[in-house]
Amino acid sequence: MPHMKIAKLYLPCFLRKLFHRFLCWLWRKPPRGEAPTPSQETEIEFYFPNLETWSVTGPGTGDYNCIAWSVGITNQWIWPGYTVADFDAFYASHGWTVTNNCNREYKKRKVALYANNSNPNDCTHGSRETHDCIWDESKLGSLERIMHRRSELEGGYYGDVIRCYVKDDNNANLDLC
Amino acid sequence: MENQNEKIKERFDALFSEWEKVIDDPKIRISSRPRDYINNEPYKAIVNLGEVALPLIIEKLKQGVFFMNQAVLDITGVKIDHIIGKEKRFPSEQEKSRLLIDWWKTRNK
Repeated sequence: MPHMKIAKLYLPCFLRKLFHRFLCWLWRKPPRGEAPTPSQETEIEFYFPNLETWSVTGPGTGDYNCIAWSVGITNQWIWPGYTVADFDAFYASHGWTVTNNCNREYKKRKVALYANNSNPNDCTHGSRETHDCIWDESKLGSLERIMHRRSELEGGYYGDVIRCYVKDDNNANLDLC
Repeated sequence: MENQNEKIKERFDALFSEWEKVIDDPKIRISSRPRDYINNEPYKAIVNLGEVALPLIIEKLKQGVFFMNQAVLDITGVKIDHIIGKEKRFPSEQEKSRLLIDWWKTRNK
């Protein structure tokens, strides 16, 4: 995001915050991707009734899934197990550490782990914060990859977020300086 | 013997095609969990074909149908951990397929 780098270089913190608020205001809609087609809307919103503001950022494919995407892999289908312990070990092997704080943080990115009925032995999905202003991206099984508000994916087919993982990213959420 | 092999192939192809129809459901395709793709009757019937179906299943693995990994493991009783090197803790389904294909080649040498 070059504009964020410009803000980082030239603007003091309070101006950066204002600048970022303006950008977030601009990005009330997903900052990346294509608007879903009516058939995509019907199909996907059926499984995620809280999904309102979202876009399609990648085509449907069986080459990779949500967990692979959450660690930046787009040519493998990865499922480390069904328990939180399995996912903790998997994300640790990719440099992500467990955090109790799922909110966005200055210079950090988050991955969210979902489970049915908040059951830690029934994990279902992982989404990754890929853009400031609380935008996550999710690969939906072998269906499309989408950009969405994390909270809007909750309460549907994947259940709710039960845990988050964090990693440093010098370009993330610079407005929270 | 040849006639019997043909019958097994016919049965396998029919079950495989049935399984493909089952997993074409968006309710399954929206899932990333392998067990959601294999917890169905056609898949169980493929596993129940037993050892005679292994060459056909391995062919599917070679074609990239990695959800067939578990069928190989269920039929042979082999544990995936035994054929994964210790250096690779979380192999992808594609990597498991490659390992199983190699294991199959070694077994049939």
